[in-house]
Amino acid sequence: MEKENTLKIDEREITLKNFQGNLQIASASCLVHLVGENKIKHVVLLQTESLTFDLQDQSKLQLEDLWENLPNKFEVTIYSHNHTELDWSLAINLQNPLEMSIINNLCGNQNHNKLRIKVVNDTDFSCQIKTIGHIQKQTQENVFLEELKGLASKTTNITFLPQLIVDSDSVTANHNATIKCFDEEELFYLQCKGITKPEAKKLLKEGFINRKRKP
Amino acid sequence: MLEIKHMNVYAADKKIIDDLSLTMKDGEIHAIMGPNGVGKSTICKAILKCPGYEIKQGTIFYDKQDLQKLSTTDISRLGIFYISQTPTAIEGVTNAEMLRLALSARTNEKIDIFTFTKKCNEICTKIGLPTSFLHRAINDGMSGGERKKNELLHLWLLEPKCIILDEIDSGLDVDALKTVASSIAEYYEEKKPSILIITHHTQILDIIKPDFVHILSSGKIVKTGTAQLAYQVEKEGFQNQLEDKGIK
Repeated sequence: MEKENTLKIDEREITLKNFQGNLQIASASCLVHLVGENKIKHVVLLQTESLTFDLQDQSKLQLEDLWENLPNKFEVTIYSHNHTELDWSLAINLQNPLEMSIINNLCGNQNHNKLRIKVVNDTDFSCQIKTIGHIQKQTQENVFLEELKGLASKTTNITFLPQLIVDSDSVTANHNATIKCFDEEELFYLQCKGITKPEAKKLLKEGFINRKRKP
Repeated sequence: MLEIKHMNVYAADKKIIDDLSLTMKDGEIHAIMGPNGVGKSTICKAILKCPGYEIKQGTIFYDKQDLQKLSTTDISRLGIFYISQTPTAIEGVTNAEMLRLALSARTNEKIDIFTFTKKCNEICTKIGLPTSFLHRAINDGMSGGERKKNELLHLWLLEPKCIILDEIDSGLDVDALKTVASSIAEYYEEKKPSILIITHHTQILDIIKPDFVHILSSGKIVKTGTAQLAYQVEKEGFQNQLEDKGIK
């Protein structure tokens, strides 16, 4: 089996061109310029509080990731200039308290941003995810689509704070957020097959996360 | 042996089952019939300890184990298998993932994937289910007939000793009913489990032939007979049977 390419970043700023593989970011704050077509499978944030993706003209970023051990508080900022494509599917299986902000700036024309976030919280920790989609002034034909989904147990909570700032008339923008609890009927069904409740919850969590990953 | 004694079951503080007693010996087939809303499905849910159903009086024992002291998982692992009239669909969780876990828990062994897949494929062929269903999400996007066949895959793989069928015939066309019922009858011939059938119709009982038929009314068994009772009910209606017993 071919070993996956993993790039460890210690610098505060780096440029990636046609990169495919995993990122391990060790710096507290990191600005990643992206050129060409980039496909990042897995991101490990070691001490990172702030991560910025800067999509240069004509660049693409596909990011599909399951994040488990996240810093308690961090911020991701994205700049999309012109004719860029961002396709980010993020699944978070909460393991510690989380306060995360994602700020998406569409600064130029004809950018296509698609962001899907799924969060599972079966812990006692609090989880707050704030997203801002900012379509800036004098920009044309941008597409911004954001979907936030949460799965929580009855005693925990997930807070989504989605915000759209649209300063342009020429844009397609949509965002939605839904949170649901573990379905008692599904849990009962799986227990009727001889699966314990914790195992059933694990299956449902994996199923919830995998739904976006499978075509 | 499944033994229910003087059971009262409540759902949302309303008494649904009232002083019900039923003994089902190993290898016996029992059918429970009755008009809509008399509590037939509640019996199944009480046996399996479905959330929202509370047994306030009486006992349920299976193989000398007090089911009220066990979890739904443990009841299943004793060998009791339940198929509801509308099997739950679970998006994102495949049959294969769930079945490997369920089988592994029952056998306390790690399941070899090749042996598992081979066995599942054999069962799919036997019950007329495409083998691709093994890797589909549980009952998700499946028709009523496909869902019931999907449950048969689970049944043949998990090999239960006691099967509870809650209106498995509902929503099935004639051909699908024949296929599903014939497969259960074949399982019965091979493994001799005890079977509790909840139904409104005799078509399923033509194929899975009951030793005893019980008529349920207002949460009580009001009449018990042989398979012939089911045909009498079909011919004359429930009301006649109830009036025979002085129940209106």
